[in-house]
Amino acid sequence: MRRKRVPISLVVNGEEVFVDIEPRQTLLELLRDELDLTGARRGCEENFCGACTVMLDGVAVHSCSVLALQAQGRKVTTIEGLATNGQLHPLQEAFVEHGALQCGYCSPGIILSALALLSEEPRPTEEKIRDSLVGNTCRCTGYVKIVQAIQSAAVKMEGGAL
Amino acid sequence: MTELQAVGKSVARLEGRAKVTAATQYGVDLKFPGMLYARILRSPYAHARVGRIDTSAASAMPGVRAIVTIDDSPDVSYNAVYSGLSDKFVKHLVQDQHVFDEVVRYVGEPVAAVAADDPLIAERALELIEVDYDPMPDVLSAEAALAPGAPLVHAGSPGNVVGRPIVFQMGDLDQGFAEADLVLEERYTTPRHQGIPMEPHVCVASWDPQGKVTIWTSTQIPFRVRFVLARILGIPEGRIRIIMPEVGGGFGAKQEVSIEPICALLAKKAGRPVKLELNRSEEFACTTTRHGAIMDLRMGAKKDGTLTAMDGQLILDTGAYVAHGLGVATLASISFTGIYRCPNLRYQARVVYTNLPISGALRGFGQFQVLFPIESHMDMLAEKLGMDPLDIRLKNHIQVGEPDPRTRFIIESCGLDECIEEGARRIGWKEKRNDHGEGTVRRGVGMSCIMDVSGAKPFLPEQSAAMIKCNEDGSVALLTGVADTGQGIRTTLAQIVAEELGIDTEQVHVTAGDTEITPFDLGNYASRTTYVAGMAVRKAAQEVKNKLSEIASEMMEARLEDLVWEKGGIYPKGAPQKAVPVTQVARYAQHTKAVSVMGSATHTPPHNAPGFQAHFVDIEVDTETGRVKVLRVVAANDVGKAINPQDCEGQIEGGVIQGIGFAMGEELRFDESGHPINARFSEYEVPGPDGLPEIETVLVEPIEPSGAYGAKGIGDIVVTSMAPAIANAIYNATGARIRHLPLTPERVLEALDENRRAGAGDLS
Repeated sequence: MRRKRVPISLVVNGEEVFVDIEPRQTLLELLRDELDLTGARRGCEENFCGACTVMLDGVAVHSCSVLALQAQGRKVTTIEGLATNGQLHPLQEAFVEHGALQCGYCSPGIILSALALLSEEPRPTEEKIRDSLVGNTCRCTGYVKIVQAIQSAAVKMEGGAL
Repeated sequence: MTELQAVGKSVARLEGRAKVTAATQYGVDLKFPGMLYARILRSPYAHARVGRIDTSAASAMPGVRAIVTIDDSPDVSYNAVYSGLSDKFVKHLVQDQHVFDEVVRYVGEPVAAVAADDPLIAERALELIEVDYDPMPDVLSAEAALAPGAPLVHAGSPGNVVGRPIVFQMGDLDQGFAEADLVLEERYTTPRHQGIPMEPHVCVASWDPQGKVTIWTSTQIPFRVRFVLARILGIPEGRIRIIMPEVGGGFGAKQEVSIEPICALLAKKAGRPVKLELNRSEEFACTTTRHGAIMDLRMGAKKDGTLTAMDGQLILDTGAYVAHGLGVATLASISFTGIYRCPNLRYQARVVYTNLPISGALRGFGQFQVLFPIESHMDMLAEKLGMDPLDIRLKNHIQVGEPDPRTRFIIESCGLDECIEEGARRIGWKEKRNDHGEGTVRRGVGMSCIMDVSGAKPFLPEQSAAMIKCNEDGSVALLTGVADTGQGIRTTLAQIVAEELGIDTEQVHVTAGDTEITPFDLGNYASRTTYVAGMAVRKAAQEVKNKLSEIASEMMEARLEDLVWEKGGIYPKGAPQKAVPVTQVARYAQHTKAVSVMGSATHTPPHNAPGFQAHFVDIEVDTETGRVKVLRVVAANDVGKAINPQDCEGQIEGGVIQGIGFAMGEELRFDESGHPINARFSEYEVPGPDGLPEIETVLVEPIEPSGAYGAKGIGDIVVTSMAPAIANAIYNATGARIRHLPLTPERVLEALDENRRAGAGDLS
């Protein structure tokens, strides 16, 4: 069965993408189902848990709650776009080193939320970090090592490691 | 012992890079050519006879490829768990489930399923299936199920009780209570919790032309899924291959066969691969929960705090099917009898059917329902006896050399004293115990101790196996059946291999959880994998080491018994300058000697090496709003040797926060028709990152002789302390005692009111 599709274009991880989508599709469905960018994950599908977090024009959003059409002409950054030339982003590195991930399902979303925070505020307090992650749920870690990893990455990034 | 190189180090996850770049493939990411997408039609009734199912309109819908109903369901009854695999166990198993049944027994029970070209078509096709239901009277709580004349959930189970009660008795209960200076009896209730792994249940099934089915599934128990499926599908285990993709959490929620049978039936009927992924509301409403429980607990103690008698009557709400019910009741008997010495005791558990979703495994398995009561009771006894809550626990807890009364296994390691003492010191127990502040916001501290098994011996035939192949570059491939659902067991096991062979952990390439390739393992549950699989892996590595030693002895013309393994090299005793790297020996073996060096082992542990913990909380209670804030947690755990301290801390931190959720807010609730009313993230109170306490972890590491390098389990125990510790702290802060979870503001206010009415007077 074929449903109506419309063309859109957007920039995903620095690359311009032309794709036909169904108008009902969310940004999450566009990324996962059309572009095979599986780092954005279905979690709650009600704009709550943040497993689907990506950056839209530099702002962290829940991609389950953005229509793909709303991304027309805009810039999307997903976890797949963070490492450069095989070199992990300091946040990714810190999450691995500090044991800030267990099952890893929520990690891409949390890393992107953290990246959005650090681009606004390079040296956030623990309280600020926790507040900025209210849209992200992790069931495994208890958040302690996530906060530590973000703090450690912040130091590295300020030192010009970005 | 020479200094450890890999064990005891906080090695980063081997799969860490893949996880932070999303190079990993979870079940939800799987896609195959020609793959169809499935959705399940579920019962809107808590109890109904299913009549005619008309699928003609749905079948006619373009893009629909297969529909399965009771007509396609094998006429096989099963238990989704198979608590044990030996004939002895299976014989006693209650097998009350079918893939599809003539009667639905909870809201959300599958009635039919559709496979279609895409999920949207499948979803729309469900709406076109017409089902005639004949609603039947239901029972929506254990109390209702036990009432005289209650409707029966299963015709063959009079009184809605599954089988016979699980009973354990010891000593003379009457005499024990007669000897007591103080007897205390209370009723406690604990709710249905959801595990809520972030990744939903998902599987893909694909049949080959030889009639063999491969299923990729997000599970904790690949080999047991294979075992149950073989029975359901009527084919031998060898024709079923279960593969674990990366799994996004389990916590017990993925510890039984769930969606795999439906997916396999659809794939067979469609002749194409089928993917079945649950959505979040199905996850909340239709997957297994913790058994809600009622416990009547009576305990007697002498003036000096010595326990003389314990009598516990437990009722477990197993929901529509028994699944893990008898297993939880059985393991809970160890939780009941294990931690504190008491010569006269009786434990009796009834597992009760209700028309609610199936209860199952959840982290804290068999602990939560009895240890919230016992740990609350211990504090109440201490207070009435004028003792410090720490002292009554120190006086009564089981010690090294003593037998666990239920299992008769001798305790070989116990760091509980150190956990209690260190935890008390760090929380500031002595100072804070009597300082509650002024005004309406009161401060208090509380604690609780837990003992929990590593593995389910003697109730299950505990076993793990491992195979190790040496590569010619000196790295090795470890094949293990364990299920890594995020706890990091692959890294832990790699560390054990690396330690044995003197190589880097990164040189151990781990393949896990594939029933075709990896050797047998019972799965990820009961804090067993480090303890059981760890030793299997160590034994297999020792075999590899012995074989490499023989080759090295020939290479170096040195006597076998003189060889020393150190820091990645092998040398004859006294001549470290002659050291040959292990990698070179491996290469020599393969290319010069033409010997493939491999090792394998199966391990069954001698007992269940309990771990212990003492967790402390410092809280404040707003006596006007009933709001409780946990300010600080000190969590001291006896983990045996910590193979990977960072991962042990991660287990504790994560477990403590889950425990706070289970204690303070989480409860799956139902309306009067059996529909869940908070089956979504935004309404079921999963702890988020804000407003959480500071957590200080303490690892206490007595060497457990039966575990690899002295290790024991850690996974389950860590969630259980928070509920009693916080309830005890609320009492310490305000004098209000709460016996029912969760500890909501309403319950706090009620308990404060009850206190005032009892004449305790106002706080201020």
